[in-house]
Amino acid sequence: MAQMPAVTGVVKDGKVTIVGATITAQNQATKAKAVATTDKNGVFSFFRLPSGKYTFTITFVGYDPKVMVGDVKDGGTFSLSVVLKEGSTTLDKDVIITGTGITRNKNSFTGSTATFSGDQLKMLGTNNVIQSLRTVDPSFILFENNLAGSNPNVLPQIEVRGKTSVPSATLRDQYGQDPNQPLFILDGFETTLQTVVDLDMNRVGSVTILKDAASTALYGARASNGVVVIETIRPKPGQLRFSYSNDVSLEIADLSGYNMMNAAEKLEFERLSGRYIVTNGQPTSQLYMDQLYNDHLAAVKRGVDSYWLNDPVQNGFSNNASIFAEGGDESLIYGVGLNYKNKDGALKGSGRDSWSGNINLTYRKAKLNINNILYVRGYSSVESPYGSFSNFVNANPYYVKESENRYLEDTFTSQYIRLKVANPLYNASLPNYNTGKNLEVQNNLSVNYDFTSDLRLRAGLQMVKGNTTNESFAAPENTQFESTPILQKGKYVNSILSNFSYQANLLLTYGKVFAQKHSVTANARAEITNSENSTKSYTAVGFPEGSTGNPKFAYGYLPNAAPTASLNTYRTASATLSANYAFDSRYLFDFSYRLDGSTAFGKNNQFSPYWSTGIGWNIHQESFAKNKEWLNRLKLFANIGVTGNQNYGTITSVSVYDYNTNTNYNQFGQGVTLSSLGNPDLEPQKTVQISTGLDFSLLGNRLTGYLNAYMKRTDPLVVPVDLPSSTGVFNYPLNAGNLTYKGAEVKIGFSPIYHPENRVVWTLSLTASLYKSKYDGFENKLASLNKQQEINKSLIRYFDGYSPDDIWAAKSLGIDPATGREVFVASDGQYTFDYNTANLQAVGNTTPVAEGVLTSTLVYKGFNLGINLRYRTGGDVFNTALYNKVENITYSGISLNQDKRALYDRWKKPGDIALFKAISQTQVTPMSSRFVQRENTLTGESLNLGYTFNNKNWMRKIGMSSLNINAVTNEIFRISTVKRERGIDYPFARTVSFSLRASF
Amino acid sequence: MKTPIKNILLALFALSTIFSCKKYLNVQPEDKVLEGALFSNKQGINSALNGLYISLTNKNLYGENLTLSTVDILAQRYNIASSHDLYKAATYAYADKPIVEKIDAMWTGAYTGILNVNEFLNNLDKYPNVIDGKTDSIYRGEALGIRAMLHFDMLRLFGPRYSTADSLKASIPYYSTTKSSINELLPANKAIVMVINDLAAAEQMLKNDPVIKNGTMIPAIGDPANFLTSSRNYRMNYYAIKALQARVHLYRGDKVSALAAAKLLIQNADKFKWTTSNNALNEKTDPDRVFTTEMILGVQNSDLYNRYDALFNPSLADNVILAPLASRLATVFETNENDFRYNLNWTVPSNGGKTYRTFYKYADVVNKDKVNFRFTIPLVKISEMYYIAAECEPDATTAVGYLNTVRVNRGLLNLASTVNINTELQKEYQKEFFGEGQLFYYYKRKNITSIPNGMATSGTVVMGAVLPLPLSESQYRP
Repeated sequence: MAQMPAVTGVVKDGKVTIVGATITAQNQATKAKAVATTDKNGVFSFFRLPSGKYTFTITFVGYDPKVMVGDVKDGGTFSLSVVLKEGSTTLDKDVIITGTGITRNKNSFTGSTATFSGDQLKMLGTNNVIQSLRTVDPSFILFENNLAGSNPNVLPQIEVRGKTSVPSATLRDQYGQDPNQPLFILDGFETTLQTVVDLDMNRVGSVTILKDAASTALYGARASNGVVVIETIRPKPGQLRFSYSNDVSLEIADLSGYNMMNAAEKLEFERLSGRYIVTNGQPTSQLYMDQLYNDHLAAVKRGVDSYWLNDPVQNGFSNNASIFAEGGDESLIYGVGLNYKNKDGALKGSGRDSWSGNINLTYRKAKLNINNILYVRGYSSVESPYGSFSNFVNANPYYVKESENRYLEDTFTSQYIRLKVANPLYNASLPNYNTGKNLEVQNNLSVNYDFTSDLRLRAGLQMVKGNTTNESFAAPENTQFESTPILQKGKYVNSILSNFSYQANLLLTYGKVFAQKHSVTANARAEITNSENSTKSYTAVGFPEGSTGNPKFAYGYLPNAAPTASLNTYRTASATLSANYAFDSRYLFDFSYRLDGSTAFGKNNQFSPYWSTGIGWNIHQESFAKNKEWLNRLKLFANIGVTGNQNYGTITSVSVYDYNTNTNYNQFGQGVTLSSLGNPDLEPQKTVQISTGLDFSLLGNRLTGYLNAYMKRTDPLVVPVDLPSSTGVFNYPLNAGNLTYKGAEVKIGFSPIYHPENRVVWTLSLTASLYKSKYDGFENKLASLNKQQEINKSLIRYFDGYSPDDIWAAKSLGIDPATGREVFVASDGQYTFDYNTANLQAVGNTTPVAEGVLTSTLVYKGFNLGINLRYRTGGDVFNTALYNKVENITYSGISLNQDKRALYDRWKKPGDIALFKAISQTQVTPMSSRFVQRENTLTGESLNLGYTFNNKNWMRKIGMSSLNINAVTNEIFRISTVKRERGIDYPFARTVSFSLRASF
Repeated sequence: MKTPIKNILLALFALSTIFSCKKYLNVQPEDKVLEGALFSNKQGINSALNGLYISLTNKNLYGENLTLSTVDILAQRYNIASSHDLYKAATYAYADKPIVEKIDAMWTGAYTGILNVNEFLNNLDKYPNVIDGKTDSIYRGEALGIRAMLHFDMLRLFGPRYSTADSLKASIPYYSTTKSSINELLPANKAIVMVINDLAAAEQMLKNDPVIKNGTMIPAIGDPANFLTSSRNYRMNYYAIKALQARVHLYRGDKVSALAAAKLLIQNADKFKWTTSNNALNEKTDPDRVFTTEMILGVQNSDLYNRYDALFNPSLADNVILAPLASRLATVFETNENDFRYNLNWTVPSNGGKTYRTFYKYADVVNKDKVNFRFTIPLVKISEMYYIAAECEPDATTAVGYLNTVRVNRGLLNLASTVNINTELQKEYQKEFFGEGQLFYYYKRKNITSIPNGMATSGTVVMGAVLPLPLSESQYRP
């Protein structure tokens, strides 16, 4: 017997050897197979292989398989050197991850989606995924929160392709979530916005935004607002490898928007507005006022000009360190990550520390694949003891800054009402606190079983358990307790929130290509979810002076108040079918159907069907286009579908009773009364979406992008309405009206320099989003809501034919030069001095004509430079600084600092052409179009510069395989056509950060 | 192997998604009481019924506004300072704050109560056989009575002056079922028929009310109250229905029916015993100031003494306290210290530095164990039945006799049969119903346009007899 030939070889990835790769050798004649795996040096060997021609298939997770052919001869030694190319598993460019386990092939799918890699997002900013997503996708709109500014503990407001329900505070669901917020999916299971915001960006593998019905129909009742699917980096097998990242950043408060008076200006303003002229005509009082004025004047002359704004701000330093270890072989892969982020906000004392750890284990054997990810995460948040920033913005500049006294001044107004001016620095020096602590454990388990290569079963189970404790304390010395009885001074609030949820799903996938032309994929999926949220809270009052807020020292509970407690259980059950068919990769067809049941729907409509269907055409696959060099990819698609938005209260379908408050009883005991009347016929909100798009990649991939257009119509809306009071029914969930959005998104990128093979690419790109929205079908059903809005001085109304973003106010012609009074236009076109709520009309719209980002990215070898500028053109804003700080300054408001324009731009004498009313007028100015301004802005959203070192000699010595450093600035500048105050309670911040990532 | 596994899985799919879902989705929240759970047992139904009574004691209804404060102020009972919260009520400036909010609160409170009654009745139909038929009948009767009373008081406040041609004018909507749509404003004469029909139905339901046999059945101190056999005068009992009928018929001008109903009560007057001179004049620490023994219907407001502290407590400042001008008060009681109502409930306080008499009717007593009468606000008393009888009785001597029965039991002397019965009745209404709200309705019913000005020692003001519908209602009306 001749000696069998030996075949040996080594498998590498570039210069690193791969452990655990599988090599299958198949004899081409006999079809006999032999299998070997690489050892710890990446070496494999077949010792006895019959001679003949062989096909060697080398496979390894995370890499593209490689096929080699070799002639093995008796007595010889055959040796192979294999270099595997890393597959695009971290971001598989051809696969759309839907988060349900159902994956879609990008080339044959007919929906509108966008996928970004974690690295891509990290480069744009180190803050969180959300901040970076807005830069890369035009449909992902982040709203400016003018109250909370850059407070790290406040969640952002997000919309994808507009709203699908009436924005009303009473409509918020049990989580207090924004009803127009998209659904977030993390590693296959629904998660909260808070978790996404706190997610370590270094762990993010990819983010996919699903925008239209075809892509979101898999989520049925939760899909109308779009879906954001986040996948964390999956560990790769091999030798134990470490990667370490560190990001440091600085938050610097942007105080440029505040236009406050200096001491001299302020005093002059007070004089002109009549603060020092008594109204009761008593000479002694006037003497007092004159003395007060002179005291203030003396302070100004002494040079007192306090700039209070810089006291509560700081350069908030934050540091994020994360480490990840991974490795394993073909059958067991492991990954362990740890992350700690310490973030200080731009206001002193405010910050947010978050941390997380995860263990990811994958076991594979034959047809079975089990993956388990355990996450443990937590945060602690602290609000600034300085309280609202507005206290400092509004502090008078002619007072000397000090923190000793409770009051800066104790005087009288000209109407002889006592006026005590609270000292914000004194309040800040007290041991106030407002903190939150959270701990959450989550486990995701998924099991795959491949019956055949065409049929796969997948089961998933997720459990989450979390706990949050919030504590706040206001010291008894705080000026807010000035008129509180002694035994109720000081306030401590403790609330405990806990959440528990589980989700389980089962998915059957079938995929096969018939006759090489008919590609079919079909999925069937069933899912149940359960989530429980509970809160408990109590309030203690009456603290001794000097108390640091231990509730033990409280005098008692808040009088006549009971502890609050709530528990919500919310369940869904759903079944989904989806199918995709592609003919010759040219003609594409998609269909999805989902039946959704939940505790939220009306009792008589417990289940609700959702569906979508789409068609597509891959023009570049047509024979006439196939050999065109300038045409790399051109896909046209259109789809239609119905999805839902169930972000509203859970038991709107049944009547709910509540026990009378704890102080009400009689000799028969307590009683229950109706707290809300159910509407058993309530229909869930359904959104019909029509979406079409064109994806292109032309001129050898130099010109890429897409054009999308959509129509989104939610009908019916669910609106909680107060019915006529004689019905006794309030806050009644009603199906009323509809809301339509029509819009388009564009992204065009062009690369003047394009040498990807040498890693030299310069790309210029533009994104734009445009939309219009309209209500209809309300008739008069929302009259009570409109009345409420009027009483609450809201700018929003609900009328047919108008947009949710319209600004409702009185139409103003400006200030009459003769009298200094405002002239309004009545609904019949007459001019009038009288303000009448019947004359209110839509005087502006906050939706911009277009919003998007201009980007330039340059990659040169290891260098990359990115410039991202956000433009926003044509939206209106209601300038609250003008409304509150130039006009509407009350007698007591005169003692607070005001906008400079209150002094310079107001009407003073007949003949003045002024923008604002007479300076002496302290009565209420109604909201009018005078305060509505058209705003165009340009923002330096993200500027970044980075360099990646690879395989340098010095690196090898310390065992490092790659090193990346990156510097980013966010919001570094902002140019606007409107001068207005941004950041009322918390200033906006500019961010500068540096990050470093090393792999070993 | 392959096919059976696939089939089993598919079957599981089908099972899990179709059959078990409905049950799985049916979640009972722990922090709320759902209608189905509430009406599936007797305790739940009892709680719901008691809830109807407790909502009557709401501040916006009989707990304060319809008894202690607003409606009495509309009758010029008190000397209201111009800086007082309720000054706008005393001057009938109904469009101004805060009276516009009070009007809204009374209206909304009453109709919310009516919704609760309608849902209660609806749910007794929807969840049958939870309670026995006898109990069911009594509960329904009580609920119907509450519905009638609330509608009637809204009619008396918001409706036109009934005793004139205005009785054909639009008044209030009447809700006999739960509706999420608005009911039309009925002409006052139609609305009152609805009230009478509801009372007649309630009378029928309550014909086996144990009160008929056993009286009010006040439980011994410490004994729990039973929903059928205790404290019937705190429930909408059979006699309360009859008394309301007397009131409604008189308001409608149907003196014959009013007299018949009032007489039934007078025949059963032993069930509603007069207060004693011992209680009124000798009991210094723990008197029953509201005369609960005379009460045909009353409510128990656990917040009553807080309301007292906020409205009548002598330690309140002069511009906050509700108190009449001393001379006006003396005129009302004809300076007669023998009158139980004057002697007992009007005293110059020893604290607070007040030089005038303040109102003690709703002051707490020393002994907190007096649960039989503490927290009580009377809604109908036997005395009113004698007044109604006196007004309706065609025979003058008999009529004065009815009036004298009350006077004797108030420590006053008999009147001669020659007196002007209407003059004397008006005086009685002024004396008897302090803190019970009935005087305003009396003036309105008797079509008296000018009434004594409570804020001046002499002179009259024109009473604003018709409250405007609140905005929360009128904005839906053409």
